Amino acid sequence: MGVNNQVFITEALQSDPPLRVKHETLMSFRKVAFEFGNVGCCLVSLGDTRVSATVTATIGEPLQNQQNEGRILISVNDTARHATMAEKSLLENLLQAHLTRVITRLNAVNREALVIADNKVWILRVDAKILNNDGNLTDACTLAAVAALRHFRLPITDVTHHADGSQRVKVMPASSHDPRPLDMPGEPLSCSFMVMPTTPPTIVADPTAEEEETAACSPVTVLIDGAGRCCGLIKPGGPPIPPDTISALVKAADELTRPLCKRLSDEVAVDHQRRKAEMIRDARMRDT
Amino acid sequence: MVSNFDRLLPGDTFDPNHAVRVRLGRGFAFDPERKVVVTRNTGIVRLLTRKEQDMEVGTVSLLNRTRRYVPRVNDVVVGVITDRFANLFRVDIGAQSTATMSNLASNKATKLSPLTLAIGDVVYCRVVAADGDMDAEVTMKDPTTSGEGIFGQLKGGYLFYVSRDVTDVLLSRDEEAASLVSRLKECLPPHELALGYNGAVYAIGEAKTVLLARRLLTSMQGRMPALLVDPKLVGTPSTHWGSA
Repeated sequence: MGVNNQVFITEALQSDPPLRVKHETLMSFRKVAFEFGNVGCCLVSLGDTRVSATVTATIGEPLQNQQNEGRILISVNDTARHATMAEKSLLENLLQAHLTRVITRLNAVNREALVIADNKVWILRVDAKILNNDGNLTDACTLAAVAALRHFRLPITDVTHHADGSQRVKVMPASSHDPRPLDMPGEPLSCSFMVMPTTPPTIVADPTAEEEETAACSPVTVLIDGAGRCCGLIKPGGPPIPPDTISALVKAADELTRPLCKRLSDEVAVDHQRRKAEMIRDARMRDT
Repeated sequence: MVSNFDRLLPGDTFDPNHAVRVRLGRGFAFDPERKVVVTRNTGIVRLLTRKEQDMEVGTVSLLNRTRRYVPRVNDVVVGVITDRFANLFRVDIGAQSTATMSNLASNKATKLSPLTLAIGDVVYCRVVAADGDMDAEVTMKDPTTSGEGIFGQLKGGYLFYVSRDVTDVLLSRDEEAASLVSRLKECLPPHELALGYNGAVYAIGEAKTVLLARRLLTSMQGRMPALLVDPKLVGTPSTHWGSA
């Protein structure tokens, strides 16, 4: 966007008190809303940034060198690009790498619990779609993916071993066997900041698209697990940041993501209760 | 029977309950086959009439919470320069394609000293040509004055976009809109607002005032009928800014 707005944004940050366009304070998130569709499908709105994530599961073979673990495949799709393009854009690749870091490397989901039998595991697929980009796609995609994983329910399987050593896996229908939630031990979330080119540099949380496009600003992302520990710091270039600023960022990230984490589990639980109540009501209406 | 603040869908006929002579504003068109006035969009009817020699005269238009802009001749718009060529600029006014502006399109520009705008500059200009099939043309020439007019480059502020019902109302010059504008002026500390029919608003002032203006105007989107009836519903700075 124009130079005008960039100049205004940096000047507003240097006023007393520092002001941002769509946020109340320097270290605050915009309004977060979760909307659930089918089981395992979540639409997250972070201000005007909207990302939708869907989790689906199939049964397949584990990887050669990870025989005791299920698999999680992650795909990020920027709907603003033509869908006919086969290659992923830089933005999509970056977000995909970020989600892989958060979900597989930080053990968001216990993959050993996805094993069904010898050579048969659950393969989860997380598809994130970027519906509107008003900045901070990193956090929005992470929230959407984690919310979808928490909302998802895995079908119950029944494994029968035959005398000749083969096994048959049967997926039990949802009507008779309630699907179970995924085992998600860690509760990792990411919190993104932007170092803005004011003098001295100001750090803002949850940058909007305009703040991200300001010349000479640099992003920092902190990965926090549910216990408030910093599990990762992503800083692609930019001016050096002193260690006490980093500790302050980790602390701020913890304060910002902890209520989000709690809200997420609460809203998932409420949605599943509502779903169950509707199923009971529908069954009752069918019977009468 | 269509009256003020009714909601209409595309293709509905405008059928007032008494004889009025109205100029058709945005959203309405005359259908020559059926010989009636029909709507072309969805929206809320804004019917402004006054008595003139025992005939009701006025304008009728549709307020629509859209951000899409179709240029019309003589609209004032806020545009952003996107490209610069030998003798013209390309201006983004939110239409289907960028508009053109000659580099002599200002009261003070001459062949020896043409306009020197840069890419990214914000300009307040007027639409002079808006054929649907071709690019629109805009100008910063003010035909009414020979010196400084209201058109020109806008500096030192913040550009944001609101839906067109807000700008359509604030730019119309009738009494209802005037009371809404004066309510806005009461709510805000000294500021300057350049409004364009394309939904673009350029606010100049202190940072806090500009952001407050942005919040006030974006909160007016979609609430026009209620606000026209009671401008006090616009709210006060504290309702829009936590603790003012």
